[in-house]
Amino acid sequence: MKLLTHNMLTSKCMKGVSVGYPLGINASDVRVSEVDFNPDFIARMIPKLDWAVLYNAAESIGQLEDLPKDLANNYENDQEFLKKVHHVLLEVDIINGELVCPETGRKFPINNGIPNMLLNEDEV
Amino acid sequence: MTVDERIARSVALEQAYVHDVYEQFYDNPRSKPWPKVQHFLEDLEPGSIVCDVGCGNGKYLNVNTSVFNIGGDKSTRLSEVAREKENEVIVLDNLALPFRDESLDAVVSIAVVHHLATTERRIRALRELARVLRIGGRLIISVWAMEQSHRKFESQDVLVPWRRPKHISTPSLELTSTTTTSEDDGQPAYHAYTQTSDSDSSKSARTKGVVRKKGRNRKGRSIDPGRNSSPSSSSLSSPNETCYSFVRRAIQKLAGARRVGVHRPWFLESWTACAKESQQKRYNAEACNCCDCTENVQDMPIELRRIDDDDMPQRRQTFPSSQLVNDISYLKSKSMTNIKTTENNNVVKPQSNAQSLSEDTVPEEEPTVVAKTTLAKPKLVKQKKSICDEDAEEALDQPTDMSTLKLLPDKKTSLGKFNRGGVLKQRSLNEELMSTDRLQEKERVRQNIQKQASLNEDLIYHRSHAFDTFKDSVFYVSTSKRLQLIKTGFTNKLKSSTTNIEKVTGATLKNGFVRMFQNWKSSDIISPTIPEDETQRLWMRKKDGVNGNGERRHSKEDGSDSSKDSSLQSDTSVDSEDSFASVIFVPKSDPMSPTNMSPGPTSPRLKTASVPNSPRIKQSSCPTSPRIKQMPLTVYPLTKQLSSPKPSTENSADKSGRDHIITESTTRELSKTLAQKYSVQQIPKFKKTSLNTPSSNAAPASPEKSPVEVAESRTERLKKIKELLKQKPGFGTRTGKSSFPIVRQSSVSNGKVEAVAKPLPKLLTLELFNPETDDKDSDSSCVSSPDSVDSVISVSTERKTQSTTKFKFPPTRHDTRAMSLLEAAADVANTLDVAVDKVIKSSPRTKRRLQTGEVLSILQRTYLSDTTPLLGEEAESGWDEDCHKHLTDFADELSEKLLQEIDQYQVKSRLSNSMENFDDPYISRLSEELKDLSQLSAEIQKQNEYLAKLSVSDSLFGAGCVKCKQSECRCFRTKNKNNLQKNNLRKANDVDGLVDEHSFTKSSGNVGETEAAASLSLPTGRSTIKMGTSTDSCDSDKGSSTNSMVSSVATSINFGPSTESTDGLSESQKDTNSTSRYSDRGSTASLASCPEWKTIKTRSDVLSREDSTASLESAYSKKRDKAMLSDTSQESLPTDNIGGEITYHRYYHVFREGELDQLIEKYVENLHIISSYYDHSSWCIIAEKVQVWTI
Repeated sequence: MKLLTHNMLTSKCMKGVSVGYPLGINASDVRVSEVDFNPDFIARMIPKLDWAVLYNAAESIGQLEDLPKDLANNYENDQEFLKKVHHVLLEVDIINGELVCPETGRKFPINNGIPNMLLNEDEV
Repeated sequence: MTVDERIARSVALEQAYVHDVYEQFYDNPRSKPWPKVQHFLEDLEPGSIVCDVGCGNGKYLNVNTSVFNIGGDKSTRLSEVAREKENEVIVLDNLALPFRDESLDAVVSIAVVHHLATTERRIRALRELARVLRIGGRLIISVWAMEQSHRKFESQDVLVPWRRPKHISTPSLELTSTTTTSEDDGQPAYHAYTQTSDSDSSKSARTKGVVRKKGRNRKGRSIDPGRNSSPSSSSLSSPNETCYSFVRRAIQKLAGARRVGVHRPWFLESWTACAKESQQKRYNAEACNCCDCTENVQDMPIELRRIDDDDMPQRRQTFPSSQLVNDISYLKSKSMTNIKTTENNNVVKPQSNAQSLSEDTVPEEEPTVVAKTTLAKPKLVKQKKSICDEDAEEALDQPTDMSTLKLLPDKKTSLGKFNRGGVLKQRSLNEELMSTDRLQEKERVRQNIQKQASLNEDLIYHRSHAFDTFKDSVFYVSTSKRLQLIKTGFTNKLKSSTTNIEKVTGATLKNGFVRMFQNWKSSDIISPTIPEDETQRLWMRKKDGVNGNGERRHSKEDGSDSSKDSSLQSDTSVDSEDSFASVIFVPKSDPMSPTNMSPGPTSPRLKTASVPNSPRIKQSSCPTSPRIKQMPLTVYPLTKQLSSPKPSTENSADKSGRDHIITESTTRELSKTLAQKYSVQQIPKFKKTSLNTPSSNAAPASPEKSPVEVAESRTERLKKIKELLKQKPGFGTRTGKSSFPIVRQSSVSNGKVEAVAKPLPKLLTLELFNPETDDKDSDSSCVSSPDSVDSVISVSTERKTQSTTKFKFPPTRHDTRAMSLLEAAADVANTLDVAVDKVIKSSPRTKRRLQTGEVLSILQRTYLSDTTPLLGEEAESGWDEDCHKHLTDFADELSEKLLQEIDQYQVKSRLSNSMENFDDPYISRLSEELKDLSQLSAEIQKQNEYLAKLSVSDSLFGAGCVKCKQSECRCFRTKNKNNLQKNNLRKANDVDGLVDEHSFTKSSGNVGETEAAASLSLPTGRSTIKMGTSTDSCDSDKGSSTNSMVSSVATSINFGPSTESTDGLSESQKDTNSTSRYSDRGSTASLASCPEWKTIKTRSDVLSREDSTASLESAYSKKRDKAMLSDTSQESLPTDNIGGEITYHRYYHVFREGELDQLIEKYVENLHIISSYYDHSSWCIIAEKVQVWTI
């Protein structure tokens, strides 16, 4: 699971969860693989992100790598920044671990890079 | 229905028919994205975040690499498949998407929403898709269209079977539903076989409010059978293990925690029917539909029954689907309150299946309710009619008789199996599972079986048409085999269903026999007796006179007709085989039962049913207790054939005039008895033939056993078994009272002995797998019928073996008393010698019989006259010395070497040159005989062991047995030469007494001991067999092992399919068979056999009890696996295929035109439909999320 995906995930569908975001990450196996860098793609992606969440997520798994905590204004042209974001968003892959609902502590396992976000019937 | 229940149902349905199915799918590299979807993706802005909800194998995740694709699927397996392609994948549920609101730029939902079972859920899914979509985001949805060019749906909620093509290693079908749909378009593989909902349903889906008419649903269901018949479904069938496993899973799941949900899948149709109603109403309708569905059996017969099974799922949870089914059936039977009803149902079903399920079910229910003869009779009549209609070939001359006869066999089976109550349900389940094509195949098989039976009857009658019919029968046999294979496959798929099928098959076989009898009668009337028959009659009469008064009485009473019948039977015996014998025997048993059996144990239902039908039926029903029935059923036919003549005489003379009265009262019975007597006495061959018949009978019996075993596996069954055990003493007493049952057993054993070579394996297999056994039975019958010569030969051998076995048994028993196996072995050898002598003596009889046979057929003459005497002498001599050695050494090569050895022996001691011509058959026969002998010896040893154990536990008992044995032996010696039959009768009488004692003792509390002994012996036997090394310290063990090995080898050689089951369970079955054989063979040994039977039963019970959970299941599974693996026989393959044939069914809610649009417009206000089009048999909508301003 990439942090970009994590940035979109929530547990708000759970019963009793109003926001369910962001999900905590307990990563036991993080794999970093190189992905083609597409600055335009990253630049387009950044606005869609919750930067704070991405920052905390990267920090929680030790992949921060000098990522600024606050988003700069003119990041579109900052290749260094975009590369860092690219690395965090697309090259860091959580293979095994779990996501934790911030409100209920419900854990969603991540196996083989696939987070299982299924809920039991009684959790919906 | 509460909302929770609805939800639970829908969830269960989706789980079973959507998610679980997709878990079985494999990546299909050939599946390609739909152009329009691809276009949709390519038009997305770079950097968009796209989620493909229901991505399946992820084929849309790589279409546009300039966007961030997130694949989501509920299937873990598909998610992994997509993940392997380096896609970002999440396991998610469309109803609870784990995404932030408005976080995605585009959402793809291809062939997902149509898998949701209710409109409410579909709307939820759409709303979820819209929720995660950002304003201005695009959504593409495709759902299956109800309007498709190559398939039509009568209802919107359908279960679409999917069969993975064999040729395609990777599933052709795509993981994603969209792909599947596209493929479907290109490939006819998908079919919506269940079509419940009407146009109304679509409306209901939209409005939720419309309630479908139940009547329509029913109609639709009734129509369903026709659908099944549709060629497309048949063509589609492609067996897959995964499919099978899926079915199992689905069944288990259904049976399991999901209460209603389980039914849902089946009821989906009903849902659709009810769709118009509000969702709640739908659910209610579903629940109600279950009942309705039962009415509408045609469309979804399975569903209906399952509905009844609602309670079952819990049990099923732990057990395999097959077991579960059995359990269910069992439970159902219990719930049925009236076992008879179940039995009746079973009986009716086989016949009615071809006609219409609904009719069958209705009559069944009625009889159950009424539970009495009058009601049962009409039902029976209906069945008869249906059968008549079905089997034009068969002579329906005596519909009433036929009905009665049919009923009798069914009853027997049903009686034998308490579980049969569930048969109906099982059948229904099977039917449901099975496609209409399958149903048709079943019908065909049934018809073929019936045809075969009729053919056999013709042969038996020795009509001029016999040969032609015979050929036809053979032909039918081939077809029937195929059909049977198919059936077996179906049965395998649904193990429970298999038991039903077996039952059905058994019933059909029995019916066929009955028909044969009727035909026989009719033939007697219609077709003048052939001169040969007359000569035979003369012989018979003479023999009867020689044999004893009883026979004379019968012959006299029966008159020419009876003599004709007997002669016919004897003539046809070879070919007609089991069917005749079984049929005939049944009537005999009937007389016995009515007098003795009926009063006590027999269930009133049986009596009632039998009464209306005919004395024969009564007889069959007489067995009363299911176990007894089972035992007697198997035994009866054989005993009837072999012993029946004797017992009739004996009974008349010795015990009581009941038999006479009965026989007198029922000329049919008399004729049968006479025929049996004639067959037995006059022509040894006939006896042999009768033995063959027993094999067929045994086959039905074996299925009964198998169900029993199944029942054993279950705790409930255990309880029943306990009850049965308690009842057993009653059986024993009954048997004791009436020597017949014992004799029957002995005869059964004989039949088994013959069967050992041919039918036995089948029997084994039958025991292991009911469906397989059924098939095998049919196959065996077919084989036997085609090979008249072989059958004759086998018969002769059987005689010899029987004689030898008989002699052997007593000594062995003595030995067992002494507790020395070695001594027992020596005794066995002595007995063998004695048997040889007896055989030699008996040979003249055989010759005489041959003479009669000669009149009938020259070929038979030669075989009989030459082979029988020679074989008897030579083979026996060879057996004594060489059998043990050679058998042990050449267990693997036994068949060939034995044949060679036999040839050598024959050459050395050839008494007659005529043998030369028949060397081959002789050799085979001899080998078979040897095998039989070895088996017999092994069985004897086992019996001895058992006896020893029994004796230990019950010294008195053993002593009595020994005495009886001794007396029997003496009697045999003296009488064997001339009056083997008489001896048998006497022995039977003695045996009866012994049996009574045994039964009593067992019942008294020794049962546990005997069971333990049996259990011990069984494992030992198994171990020895498994070891394959016959060189054990104990001679008895060696002999038994060797014998078993040899027999197994021989059986394997002769009967590939049957041998398959020779593994652990098969071994146990063999043991049981051997025991039965022993009992059968040794009418003298009937005493032992009876206890053995009990022990066997007890064994099974014990085993079931002990291993009730794991061991039995494992054993069954092993057996099944072995059978499956062995598959050397055609049957196994078909079974697999059949299993594969069971297709995955995916639930679809097919959308009508505009339905999806309406849903979105009505319930998802923030989606604006940009375009709606039809593509790939699907309705596709591209929508954009818009800001909705609410004031």
